Amino acid sequence: MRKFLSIIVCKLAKWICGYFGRGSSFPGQVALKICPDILSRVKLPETVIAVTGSNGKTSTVEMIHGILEAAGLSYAYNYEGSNQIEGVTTLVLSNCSLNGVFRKDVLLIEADERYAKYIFKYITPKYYVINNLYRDQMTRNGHPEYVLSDIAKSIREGSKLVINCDDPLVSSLSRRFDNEVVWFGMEDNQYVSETCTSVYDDGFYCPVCHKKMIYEYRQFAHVGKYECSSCGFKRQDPDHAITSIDLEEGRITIDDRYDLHLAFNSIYNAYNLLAAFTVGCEMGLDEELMCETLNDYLIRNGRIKSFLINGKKGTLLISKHENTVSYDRNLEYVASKEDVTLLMIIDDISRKYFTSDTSWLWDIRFEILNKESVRQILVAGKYIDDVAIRLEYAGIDMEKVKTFRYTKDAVEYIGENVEGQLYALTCFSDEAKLLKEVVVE
Amino acid sequence: MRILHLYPNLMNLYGDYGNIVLLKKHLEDQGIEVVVDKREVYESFDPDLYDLIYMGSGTENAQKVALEALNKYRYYLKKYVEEGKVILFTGNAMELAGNTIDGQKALGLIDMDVVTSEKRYTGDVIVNNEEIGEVVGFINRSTLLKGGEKEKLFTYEFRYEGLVDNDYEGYRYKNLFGTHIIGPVLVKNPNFMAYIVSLFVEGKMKEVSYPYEEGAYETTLSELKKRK
Ligand SMILES: [Zn+2]
Repeated sequence: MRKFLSIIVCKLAKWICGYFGRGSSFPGQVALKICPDILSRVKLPETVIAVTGSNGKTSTVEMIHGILEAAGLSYAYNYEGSNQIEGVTTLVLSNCSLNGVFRKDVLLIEADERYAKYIFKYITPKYYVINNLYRDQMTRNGHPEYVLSDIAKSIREGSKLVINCDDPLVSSLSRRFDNEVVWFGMEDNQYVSETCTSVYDDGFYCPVCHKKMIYEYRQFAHVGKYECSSCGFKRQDPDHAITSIDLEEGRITIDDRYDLHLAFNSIYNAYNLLAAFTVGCEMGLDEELMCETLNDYLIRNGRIKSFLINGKKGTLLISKHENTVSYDRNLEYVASKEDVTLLMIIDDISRKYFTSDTSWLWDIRFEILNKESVRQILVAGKYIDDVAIRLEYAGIDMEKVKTFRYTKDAVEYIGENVEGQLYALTCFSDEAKLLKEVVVE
Repeated sequence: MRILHLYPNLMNLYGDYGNIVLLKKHLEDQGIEVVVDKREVYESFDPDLYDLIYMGSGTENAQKVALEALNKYRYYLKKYVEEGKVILFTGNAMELAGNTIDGQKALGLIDMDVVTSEKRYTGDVIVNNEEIGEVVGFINRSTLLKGGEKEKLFTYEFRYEGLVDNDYEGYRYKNLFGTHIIGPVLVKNPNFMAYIVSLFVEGKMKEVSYPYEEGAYETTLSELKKRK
């Protein structure tokens, strides 16, 4: 009876929320109040796919959704913003019949890396993709080793783990569990480096025994081909791999066989795509059809937004504050362009909680901007002085740097003074401050 | 002068290296020549060669590895501190100076014991020391401290509920300084930076202005005071 009530209330709440345009966590929250173990009382499909990790969860889930669609399977999935237990409950119950039977072929879950342990208390994914672990919102989440221990608590017996073999931290999970593992990764290519290029090195010490780790090469940060100098922990050979990549042309080859074009030229995008492909292979989906689908696959938030300031065109890039990898990626992109003006807005560090901590600025490789082609760096928001200290230490000519307390003033300055290609880099938490001052294209 | 930055790859979880790169610059602005040496846990060092030893934050596992390596220098570090030479431990490196961490023997420089807790304590803080002034920062730890009151460095002016093991924060014994504040605490607090620099300047400090650092400090201090 409680189960029936929980489902019907969730459906009702979802309908009402939908009507008022509210979020998707609330209905699940109500359902869980009525019946806390509701997720274990419904009948789920045989195929439950889960995706977690620091970066790229949403993209990976979207690409898996693409290949499921192409394969003619019915499915339901969630996305960032509703990736904790409440959102997943809404997702599951709103796709269940009133007697609690999930009505689609596949349940696809994006799971927040800290809260997956609560979601998978009741649900055992058949395939559990663990993408990567980076320093991400450490003021709230804790450090990567701490998050890893949370992910470990979410692993159920019987789940097949789909793990990025190039990330030593997530790969070390295979040492702790007997679950079957499918590995995906990227082979040696022309972009690898011998040394760590980021400001800090989370691959310096072995995650298993804390002795020094040796890298044959790195794709970026701590991701690459590694082997511990002491305990034997090392990168596993991938079951599926990006065997060649050309970032200028945006081309990759998977498993020496399938050539694909990337809709967004980045190594990170290639990893997400490969994760989706690997899951599809495990499900026995048609490989050629998957590659056809994933070719030029445009993810929803992958669309680059552009805007106009006084008739001058600008491109908006989103990085998450407190997430080094997402910053380094966009800074590299900007620095690869000619004759650039960059606007960075760092005002609210998070949209979900308050902190004034700016330590994370020291983890970002602002040194990338120390190039002739970067003509001007404009910084707006509360934390302009914190950013300026970091830029000065990065060796950037401070004549190039201008700071503005309010985004509005930076926009006004750009309208009158700036030539060349304009890029704006900020976080979801500060995006609106720019968008309300410009014409969005 | 010579600075020893200990375990910069192991204990550098929150951009802690920023303390050393800016400290070097501030010392140089006072006309002091500075050499910074870095050592990892598998490398040895001679404390007597240095005028300042620094270590920053690491994960709980990393801290254990650092402790094991540093315990070999117990006797020498005791002597170093008694001679009045400078050590700065920030983040969970500060815990190494206590008697024990979860029962395991630590450096024994400060009469305190560290116990791991189930909970994680995180949040922005304002702390205060009469000589230094108000210091801002962030604490991110999963331990509780017992003792160390005699050598306390700061008192809390603002902290989040929950973080209640003691009414004081950090320690100072002679020129051994410790604070749980993570990351580039000297960068964020020009007053704390100036205080540490003054330990190496004979006579009057040269007036140098650091507008960005002062601006960043004022911003955070006023943001945090709004939340008091
Ligand atoms: Zn090892």
